Formats: sequence, C-alpha cells, structure tokens
Amino acid sequence: MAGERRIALLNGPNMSNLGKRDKNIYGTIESLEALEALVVTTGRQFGLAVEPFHSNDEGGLVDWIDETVGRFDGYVINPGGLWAHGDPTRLALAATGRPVVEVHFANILKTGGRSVFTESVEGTVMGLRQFGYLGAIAALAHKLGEA
Amino acid sequence: MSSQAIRSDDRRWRIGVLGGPNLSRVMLSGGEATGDQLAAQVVTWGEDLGVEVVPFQSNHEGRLLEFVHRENAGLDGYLVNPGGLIRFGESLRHVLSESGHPAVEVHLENLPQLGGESHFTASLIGICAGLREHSYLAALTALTLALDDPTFLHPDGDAPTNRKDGKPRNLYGG
Repeated sequence: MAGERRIALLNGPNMSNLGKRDKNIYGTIESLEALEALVVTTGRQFGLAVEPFHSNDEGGLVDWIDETVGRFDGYVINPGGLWAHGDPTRLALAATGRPVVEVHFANILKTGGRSVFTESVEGTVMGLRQFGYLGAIAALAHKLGEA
Repeated sequence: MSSQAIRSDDRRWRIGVLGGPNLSRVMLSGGEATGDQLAAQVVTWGEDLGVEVVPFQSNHEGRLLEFVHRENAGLDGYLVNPGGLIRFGESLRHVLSESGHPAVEVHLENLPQLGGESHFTASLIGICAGLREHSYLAALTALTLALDDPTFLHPDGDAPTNRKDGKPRNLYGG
C-alpha cells in the first residue's frame, strides 16, 4: 500500500436518489452505491484507492472534508445542486491544497448558468453521465503518476 | 495498464480530435510543446483504449469545417478544443452540432469564463477542462465508454435515453 495514491469521491445533494432520477439526464445506472462501486473498481485498475462519501447537506460535506484533511492526494466531487451556490464546499476543498476535479452527469452549462466551483477547482468534467467520473479518475491517475 | 480493461465493448471507434487557432503551440505539464506533440500523445492514449484518434489542428476555421465535411461519415465522435474560437466560433459550433455525432469540448485550462464565454458548451454533449493535456485523456476515456453504452452514445442504441446525435439535455427542461 506504500505509495498508493488516495482519492476522495464526494457526491452531494440528491445523488443518493440516483436510480429514481430523470433517466434522460442520469442514464441507467442503478444507484449511488453502483456508481461508487464503479469508480472504486476503476480507480483500483489505475492504481488509485478511492474512498467514497455522500451527504445531502452541504454541512455534511464540509465536516467530512475538514475531518479528512491530509488523507487524500486528490478529490473528485459531484456537488449536485451546490454547483449554483456551494462556496463553503468549494472553499473547504481549496484549503486542502490538493487537485480537485468537478464532475456532473449533466451538461450544467447548457442551463446558461455557470458553476461556482470552476474558479478554484483544477478540472471540470460535465455531460458524460457516470463516465465523466471515470475520465476524471484516468486523468488524476496519470497526473499523480507524473508528480 | 491497458485501458481496454475498463471498456464494455471492443469496437475501434474513430474519434476526430480537432484543435482550433493558437493551438499550434501549447503549454503542457512538462513545458511548452507543439500541437503535433500533443496530438501524438492523444493518439497514444487512443491506442491504449483501443480507439483510433484522427487529429487535425488548423489556425484557419475553414480548414476545420472542411475536415468535418470530409471525414464525418467515417467518424463516431469528436474531441474539440476550439482554441481562440472559444467565444465566437459559430461556424465550427454549427457543423459539429449538426454532425449527428457526439462532440466533447476540451480545454487545457479551467477557464472561469467557460459558462459565460464558450460559444460551444451548450451545443455539445459535454466538456473536460483544466487538467492540461490530461483533459484530452479524460474526454477520450469518457467518450469511449459512453460510445460503448447502448443506453447513452452508442450509434446503434435505440433506448429513449440514447443521445447518439450528441445533443445535450438541459437540466431546466428541453
């Protein structure tokens, strides 16, 4: 395990409802647990240890980020609806000093809005459903491998 | 590790990788590089995934349009870094939007202006930005897996959730 890179996988409000959401946006993945398992398994194939966490409350995300500071080499976050206003979460992630990739199933920018996370996260992946998480994992694995 | 292990199909998708004006010289993780060097790296990542990358960079928008006119029937999707066309590249946006294939927007930098200034994002299926050259790796990986999925971008899929034409859905309806 020495030298293995650790990645936090964060999912925000409404993501625990995956499987019952609009399939035109979220596709056919069965549940949040299935999504987490997919990302953990794919991470392992790229040499990354992925640890998932979810909260429907922004405070829950901020608490966990604070409690686990120093544990992770990078973060993948789907902030859910917090894309529109989640500065506390954005700031907590920025304070870790680690690379953060924001991922969304949907193409958020099609709404005409922009994410508050964009200004301080390193990367943005949107619109490719669950496969955006796997693209983020591949990118982080290569990036951290070069560090 | 071969990335083919994460795929659910073994079809050799053909992905056009377009670079617009100002991408003949780029800043990557290891320093300054040419557009050709970046393209060669993306081709290698494609081989690792089992897909064929067809790169094309031009400082002339008309050449980019003609590449799409000529190649579209034989391609399954696109990555597009519009370069300096990001704000006003209407003709390139339009030809990709009407191509009938999914296109993913790619940027080396995570531009805070993305939501306000990219003329492309609302027309294309998705975006990968900010991870330097690894933005291309993220986009190629995600697009390949999405093309493998009959319920998402597979050209032969017919599920109601399929988006083979590459048109994104709006969270706010439509």
